[in-house]
Amino acid sequence: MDGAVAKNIKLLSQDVLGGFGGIGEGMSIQLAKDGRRILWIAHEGPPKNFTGVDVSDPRKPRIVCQTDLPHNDMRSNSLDVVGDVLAVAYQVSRPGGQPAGVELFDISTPERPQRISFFDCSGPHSRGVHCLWFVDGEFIHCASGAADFEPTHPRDDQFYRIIDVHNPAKPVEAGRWWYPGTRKGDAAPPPPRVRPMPLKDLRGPDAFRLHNANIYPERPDRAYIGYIDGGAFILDIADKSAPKVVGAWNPHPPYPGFTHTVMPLFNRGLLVVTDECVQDDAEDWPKLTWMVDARKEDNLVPISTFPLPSVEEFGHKGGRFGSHNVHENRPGPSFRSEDIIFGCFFNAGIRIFDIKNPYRPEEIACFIPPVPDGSRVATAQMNEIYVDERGVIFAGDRWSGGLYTFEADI
Amino acid sequence: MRADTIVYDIAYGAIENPEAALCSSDNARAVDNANSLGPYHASISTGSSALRLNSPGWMNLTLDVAANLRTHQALKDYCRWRVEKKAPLFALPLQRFLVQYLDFVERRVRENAAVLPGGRTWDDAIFSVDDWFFSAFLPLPNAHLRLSEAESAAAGGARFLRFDAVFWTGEALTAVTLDNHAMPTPRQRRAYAAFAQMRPDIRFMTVPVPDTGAEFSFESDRWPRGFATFWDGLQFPYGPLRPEAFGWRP
Repeated sequence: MDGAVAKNIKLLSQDVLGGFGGIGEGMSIQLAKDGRRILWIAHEGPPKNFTGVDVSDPRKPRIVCQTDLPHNDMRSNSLDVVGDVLAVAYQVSRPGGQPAGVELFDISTPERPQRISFFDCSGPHSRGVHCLWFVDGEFIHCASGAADFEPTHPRDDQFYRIIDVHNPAKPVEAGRWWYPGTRKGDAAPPPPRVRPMPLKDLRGPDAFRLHNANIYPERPDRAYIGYIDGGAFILDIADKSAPKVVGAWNPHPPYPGFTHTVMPLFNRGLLVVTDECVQDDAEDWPKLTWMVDARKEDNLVPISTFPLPSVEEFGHKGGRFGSHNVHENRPGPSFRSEDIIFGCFFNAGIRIFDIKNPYRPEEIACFIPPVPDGSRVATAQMNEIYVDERGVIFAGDRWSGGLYTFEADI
Repeated sequence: MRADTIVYDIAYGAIENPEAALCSSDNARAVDNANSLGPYHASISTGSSALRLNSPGWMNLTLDVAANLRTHQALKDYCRWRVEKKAPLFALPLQRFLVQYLDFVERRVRENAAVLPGGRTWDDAIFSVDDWFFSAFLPLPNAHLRLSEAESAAAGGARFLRFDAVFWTGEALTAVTLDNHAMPTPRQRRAYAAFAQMRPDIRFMTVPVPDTGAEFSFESDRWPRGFATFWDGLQFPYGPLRPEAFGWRP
């Protein structure tokens, strides 16, 4: 690929998804009953809802399904697949809008997703669901608003909700947790803002709300959650109706906020914690990926950060520069490693790190595509990443580049 | 040394750099004519004696520390602590493996006390039956096995391959990999496969990591001969407090 920067990574293919190449924060693989491997992709924004791509041969991806959102005042930024069930998160632009919630689809025929049910999370102060996690077929863990939840600050509307989908036709709420002080009526005062921002746009920074919740079969009694400016939390969810904090760590301030992902490495007693870059031109630099010692989960200790290229080189190339999503070691057809971490860093591309020595993470591979046609900014903005158990890397550009597939020499 | 002798060079313990660990052989002790053992490296030749908990060199036991280990329990606790410290900080399954292996050794001695030679306490005989604890095979945790040039070429240039633990039983080197569902990278997968093909002399074992609360099994036939009856072929037990442990030669 002309203009790409590559170290130990080979591009296998790129697919702009029929001209709708803006990819959000959801990628999940279905092993279809007919033997095909379907990658389900969430879009960054309207008009598309989700796209299914046959990636059985990653060199020749082929769209098998692409769906539209009901209207353009919403987005479906996140999705997950378990077996033949696809869960999609719906978030609206303004509180009170609809549909805001989680829709479940039967994708046993990938070309024709069939609606199973919709779990409504709309409300006068709710924008619905931003991110969801669904890996066990039993519970969806999501960043959601609710009809009965009035936040103390308009940006703090999405909290941690657990939805029981044992019966996917009738999802029911199983539990919830929110940062103390973010709901009107809380005994705790509202948390002091880390970097106050004007309220003309509810998206973006200056928020004490949930982003990602990660829960794994190895520890079904633990939720690892990134609460944006509130930092990283470990919750005891043995009783899902009453989650309890067992550990917390927050580098904001002095760091500029937006804890995004808290990924546990169970065999090592470590957490990988990312802060998402949410502003162009390094306005919120540095957005780091942290290595946190979690051997004692009630005393989380940061021990290092992942190396990134210099802000002088990347900060003003265009678009965002810094950490975002990592491959999350999810169960299913997914690569699982506690020594190798795959991440996407917007204009710094995708990067692979060796963390055998967690005190000194080392970059071992990277790929930066050239700016794709039709992008809103002057660089590729690598937004999402997923690695399957074959080691094939799938990554997406936020604006127009669509799906990139890679093979790493690692 | 016979022409067909194989030498295994192993860096082990809570190390960051196996090359450096192999160079730091200052504290190494000769176990016998063929083996040498230090706190971070072992050089083992086929045909040599087994490495056991009482083998000198690995523990780096100093005289002042030894002088304060006045009971069998204190000595055993110290030995256990030194073994357990050989696992890296962030290798939780390996830490469990070592603790449970040493529990297994203690249990084996306890269960067989009636038939093992030795007094019932430390003071009532020249040696105590409890001293058999120190005859168990020595685990070399986080072991990095040095590859020959040919092996390195076949393994994609790797100079060392890591195993969670190795044991030298006097008959064969057993290299243990704990299976915790982590996947090797493609390059690692190729390297281990090529190495395994070139080294029929090494017994490669993959041991599933049990769920939290469950225990590793050391009783099965999968382990090397004598693993559970480590006293086989030995006349008497002895602990680690021998002159050789301090570098003295009789």
